[in-house]
Amino acid sequence: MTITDEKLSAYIDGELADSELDMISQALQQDDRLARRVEQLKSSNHLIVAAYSDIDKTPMPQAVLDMLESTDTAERPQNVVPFPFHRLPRAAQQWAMPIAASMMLVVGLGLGMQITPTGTAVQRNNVLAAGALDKTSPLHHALEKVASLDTYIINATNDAAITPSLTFMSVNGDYCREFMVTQNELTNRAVACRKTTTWEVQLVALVPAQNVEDGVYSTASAGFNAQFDEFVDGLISDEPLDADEEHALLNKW
Amino acid sequence: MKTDALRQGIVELLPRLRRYAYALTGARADADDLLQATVERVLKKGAPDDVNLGKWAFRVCKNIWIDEIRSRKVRGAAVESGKIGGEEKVDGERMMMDKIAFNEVNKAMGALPDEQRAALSLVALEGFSYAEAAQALDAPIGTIMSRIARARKALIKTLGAKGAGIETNAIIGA
Repeated sequence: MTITDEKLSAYIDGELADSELDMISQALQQDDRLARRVEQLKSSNHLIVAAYSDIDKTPMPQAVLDMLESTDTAERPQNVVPFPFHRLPRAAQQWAMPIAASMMLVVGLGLGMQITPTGTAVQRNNVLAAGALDKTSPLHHALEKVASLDTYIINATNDAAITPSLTFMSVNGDYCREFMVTQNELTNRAVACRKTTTWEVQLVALVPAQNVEDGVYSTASAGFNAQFDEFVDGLISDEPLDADEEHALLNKW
Repeated sequence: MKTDALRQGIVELLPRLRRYAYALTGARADADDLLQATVERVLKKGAPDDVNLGKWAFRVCKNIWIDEIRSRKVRGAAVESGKIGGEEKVDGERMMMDKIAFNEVNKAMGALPDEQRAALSLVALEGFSYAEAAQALDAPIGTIMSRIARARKALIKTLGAKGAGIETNAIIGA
């Protein structure tokens, strides 16, 4: 009998009926040429995936995200919330501190964050931890390629997204970036530095509450953010990079 | 479908739609144009109540590609002939070997008939079943199966896969 490429192709895709599947499986065990043909046909899958999945590494076009963003601020999904405050001089940043929300800071600290004497922090819920990042991680990619204030969506289902917010040269001569990671309504503020080609997260802190009013990020935890700012300020060697400098750097990496 | 649910549904589909658009157009800029046109149309016209949004969005994407993007012939012809594929800006992310591999695959994909390219991309890249691809592409399952097989054969032939003595159909004794 004849086993056509069409059948082999359907076999690769798991689309054969049981009877045909058994027959072809047996034939493949007995015929090396047939087995090689299956491998050839199957290689097309690998080539296509390898070629076209690469676009995942580039940020989603802003025009598309804008179209999908709710016009109502109250409905705006958290993964596309703008964080324009980092473009402002630090002295001009506005921090609000509602009393009720400030209570959440205690909860947030108690649940999620500790600051060690060396200034390194870890978050205990496994969302993000200080240390070197795997180069295949979305965060590594975002730090390498996504401009500050652009949001890189990791998983729209649970609102997981990364928003770099600041790029600077550290006192140690490394480039560092401050960024936000949001997931399931939790927001982490963090800073990572690039050691040769690997990003190392220096500090991670859970931001317990947030809201956005008139495009200005405000938070319940002024004291906490001051602590975070102090760490970052101690790390910056000079002024943060402006947009053009950052753009050139991201293109180089 | 309510607007919010529709919007959220599209957000969840975005990465897959974008990869599909890339596989269809072969160029990132064109892929993002196609993605934008797709999202715009689905947002504006919605999806029929009895049709899965995922399948519908891929169908819209493929139809726009065939009807509009390709008709522009701005870059398409050059991409298909392989003249422009090698020049696609990849921001230095790909090493030279990767570039060559991508360009060869892209050129081979560009040489496929449109319907074959659309079907193979859905199944090989996005993991659609034949039944799902049939629904998305508005074609019978048998047609999808045939298009995919022909596309695979053409691809490996173009890419110079060395045959194992089997040219087109494998014949074995029962």
